[in-house]
Amino acid sequence: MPVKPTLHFDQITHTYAGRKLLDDFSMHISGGEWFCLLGKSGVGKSTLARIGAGLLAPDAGRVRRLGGDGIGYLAQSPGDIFIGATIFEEIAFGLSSSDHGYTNVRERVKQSLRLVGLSYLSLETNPTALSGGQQQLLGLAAVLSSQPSFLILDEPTSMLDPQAQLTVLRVLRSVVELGTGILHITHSADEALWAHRVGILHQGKLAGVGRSSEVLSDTSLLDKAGAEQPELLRFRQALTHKGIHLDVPEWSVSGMYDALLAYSSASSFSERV
Amino acid sequence: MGYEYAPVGDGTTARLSLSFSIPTGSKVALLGPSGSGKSTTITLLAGLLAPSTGVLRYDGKEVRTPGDWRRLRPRIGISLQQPETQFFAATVWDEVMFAPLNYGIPLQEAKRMAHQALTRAYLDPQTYGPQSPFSLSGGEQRRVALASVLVMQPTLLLLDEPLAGMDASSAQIVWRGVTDYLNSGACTCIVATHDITRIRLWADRLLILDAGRIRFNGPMSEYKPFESDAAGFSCQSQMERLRSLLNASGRHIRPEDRTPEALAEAVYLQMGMAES
Repeated sequence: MPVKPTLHFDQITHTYAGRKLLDDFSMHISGGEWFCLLGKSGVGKSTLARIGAGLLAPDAGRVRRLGGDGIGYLAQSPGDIFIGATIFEEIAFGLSSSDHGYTNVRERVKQSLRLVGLSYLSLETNPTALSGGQQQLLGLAAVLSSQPSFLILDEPTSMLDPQAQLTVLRVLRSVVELGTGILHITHSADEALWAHRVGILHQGKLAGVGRSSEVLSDTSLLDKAGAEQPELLRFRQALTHKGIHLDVPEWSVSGMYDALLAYSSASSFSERV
Repeated sequence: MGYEYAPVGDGTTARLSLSFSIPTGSKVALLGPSGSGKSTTITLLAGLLAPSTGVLRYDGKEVRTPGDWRRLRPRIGISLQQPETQFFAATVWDEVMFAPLNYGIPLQEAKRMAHQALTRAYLDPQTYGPQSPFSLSGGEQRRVALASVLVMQPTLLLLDEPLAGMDASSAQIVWRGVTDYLNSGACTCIVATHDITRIRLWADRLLILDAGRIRFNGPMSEYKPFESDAAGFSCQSQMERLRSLLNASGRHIRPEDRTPEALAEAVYLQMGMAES
């Protein structure tokens, strides 16, 4: 049986502008695992992401990837570091042209754009002409195209409208199901519900880490991240207290609606029989 | 106002085509999907882009020539997306005093204005003034950016995603700085955002864009939220959307049941879960 790849952050310490952002910080994620890191603005989440991506050397500690192939990194405002003159170039840059013929690259570029819901854009569009949200989606398409084993995503939905945000979360869920490991940095507890595990970065260390539904119900932990308990989770918990156990297929409004319909048709069915 | 974007490689151009007016003193939420033209609208209103067709009027007067804009510009405060990436000064004082000094206001007066603006943005001038804006946390940087917009005491405030990428508690401080300022005098404010939950409690008008056109412009009270929308856009909170979906399929959940717990109670009673 093949061993799952893992990405380890080992005892990372890092000081920036006189502040110790990361203090003997350790964690790991596995292939096929979605890990969300929450924390207040300025606690060092982006610094950790950059260390993980190899763009910044920590003062102490190290990052190890065991197995797998490559780490993809999406910066908070990817538009600042676009290098392509066209959308095609931006995505194709990361693809090794030695492994693929030109048509293959073009297909993969198109496929990545479709994935993030940008297929309506021409491949010849200049990336700088895109809106903030479109740039963020393009950045994601570019990282996904080379199919790395791990993704480090720094606030991948901060500029997106609710519908585009849902598209991205669904894409992430599908790549996780295919075995990719994700370190997802966010401020949104709603979004963190989609992850398997959630950790809270507080004073340089993981203040709390555990299953997403547990961490996101713990208001004192959430306070440390400046976050609030997701409404959809509160809704489900309120029903759980009444003995109604909903199986929520997806942490969205439509997912919750589907769960309610499924529950009510199953229970009226059991009444009939 | 029409605006034609630079043509893309295949020769096609995107267009923005807008006609709207906003009463002085309005608090406007500018909404719409990514790429619908929100940021372009903000930059057109600030005069950073010139419309390809049509004309802009402030207080009934046309604004066309560079001279028109020069007279108007001190009254307009604009904050673009991620304003902290535009910092350039060595200290917070220099950053915030840049606009007043640039308009020829004497140093002592500029310093007094910066002092007031920093205080308004919940930053202690003595502590933060001498620091480098680059050394501050993300939340503090956003407040410095706000102070440098408020320093000229604008009567039109244009904010593009002012709270994006901030945790809820930092966002709250920035937002309090904005609302305090708006409450202190007559200022029109337009905020482009996806942060519906916070904005809807504040805004009195909505301007909704879709693909470069206006979908809705009017008072918040006249806006009828759509069930589901072609652009996949909705201006409701999660619990309101869930309620709409349930009511559309025959339940009668009251608008007052807006907390997750109240909605859960209503669902429990109405979906036959209580008996089962």
